[in-house]
Amino acid sequence: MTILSALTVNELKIAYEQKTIVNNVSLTIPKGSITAIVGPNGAGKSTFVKGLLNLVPIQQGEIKFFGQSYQAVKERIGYVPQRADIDWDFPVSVIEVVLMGLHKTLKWYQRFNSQHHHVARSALEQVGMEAYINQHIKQLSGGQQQRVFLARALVEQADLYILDEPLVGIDKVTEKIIIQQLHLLKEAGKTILVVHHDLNTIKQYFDHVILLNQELIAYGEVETTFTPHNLKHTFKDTHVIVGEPYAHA
Amino acid sequence: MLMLSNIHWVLLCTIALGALSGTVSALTYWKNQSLMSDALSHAVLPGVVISYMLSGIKQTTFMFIGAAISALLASYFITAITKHSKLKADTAMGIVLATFFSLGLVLLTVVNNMPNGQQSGISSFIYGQAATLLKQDMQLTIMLAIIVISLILFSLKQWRLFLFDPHYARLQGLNVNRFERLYLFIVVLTIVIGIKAVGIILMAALLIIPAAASKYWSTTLAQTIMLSSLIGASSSAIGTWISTQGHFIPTGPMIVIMASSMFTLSLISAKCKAWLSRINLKGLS
Repeated sequence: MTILSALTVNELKIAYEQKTIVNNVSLTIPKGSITAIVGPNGAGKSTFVKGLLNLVPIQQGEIKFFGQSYQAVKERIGYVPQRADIDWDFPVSVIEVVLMGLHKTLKWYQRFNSQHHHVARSALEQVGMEAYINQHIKQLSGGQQQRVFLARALVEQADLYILDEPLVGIDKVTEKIIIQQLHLLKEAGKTILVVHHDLNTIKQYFDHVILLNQELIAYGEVETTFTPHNLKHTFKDTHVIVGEPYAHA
Repeated sequence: MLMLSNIHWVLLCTIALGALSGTVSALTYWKNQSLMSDALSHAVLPGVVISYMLSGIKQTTFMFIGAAISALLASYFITAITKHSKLKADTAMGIVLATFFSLGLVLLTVVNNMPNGQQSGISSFIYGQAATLLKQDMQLTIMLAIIVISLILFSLKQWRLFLFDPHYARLQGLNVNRFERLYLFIVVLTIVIGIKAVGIILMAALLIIPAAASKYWSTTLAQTIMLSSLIGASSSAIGTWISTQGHFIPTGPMIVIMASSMFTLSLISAKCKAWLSRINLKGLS
């Protein structure tokens, strides 16, 4: 059973300064699935994925990737942070950002060589950003910045990808490209976990959904889990029109 | 041994110091810690004075240990205040900066009232006195500047990752905690090397201005570092040269005035460039 699961979470609890942010989350995500994490603002979606990746301390619970600890398999996990977490003024060019995804393949004294540049370039081609290689990241639109971050994740050649709000504040073209790439990854047998905000596109883009509002409200296949009843329960503090899922900004 | 006159040594030393603080300023600026380097520059004073009181000599190693303890305590207090009081970091830095600096000033008065106190000229730590530097100290400064700058340039790929996206750096297997310590070590070392020449207050300025000026002209971290290093070095060269032309113009303040002139020029020409390109775009459409 564990062999077939990409991620198993058992009674996870994350708190910050005595304030519980994520509580009592247990779930098993099968390999090769594409899962949306959905919930209102402040539901702890971002904290949840950061907890999975060891970026924030967890109070209790157990997290297993491919049946092993994070430390044992961290090479196999790719991550795309929220755009808001990044200082886009920072002096770094597009290709340099993508090369960061290859950092773990190098020894501390080694430099990026032409092979690495080639890999980074083809990842940029995949997301349609090859024309911007030497541009400063500040000069890009929000959607283009997000595509560069996706390219950085692609070069990691991971087995599990975790993306935090990749479709926020971007154009339609970028949304199409990102979803296309994610589905290509899924077809290649990779597992994908996406913090997502737009309830309108869940059925179209994902096969599994996690409904989170501090506690786990429901988890499972979109068909059976993404129901008006569960949504009402998830968004109880916000005004959601049940039965008519709307884009939660 | 090179046959250089004292003035040439002073010039070389301030240029090395300018290049070093320019390089380090790029790190502090993009770590969003310009104010922190200001706080740390002021906070080293009590440590420097106490180590002088205990050892009785102005020796760089002793001073560095004192300064490092002082700076580490200050950064610990800043973190602790921010964590437990819900005050913002800049408020905490302001409190710690002022307290440590005041403590340093009080201790300084005590030292100056001690026998032989005045002659030791320890007050020069506040304003710096480039012209009175000993040759060994200047050689040490130049050597350390070369070592630290090379170290930073050699590990540029790590610094880029660490400064740009520390969370991702951790996922990429970079030991972020070790880099935090290395960063603090480099900042404190730079401050200690610099305070004898330009003084505590002006050292803080040299750790902020060059990076702020270079920001307008660089696409990559390598460019930023080289440019702010160049700005630091050239303002040191010009400032030192002017102050050696007589009229008792102090070196440190002259260096800082040169650096801020370069910042002003950068800012104005960047604005002009943006303005011109907007006009061009309008003309084309």
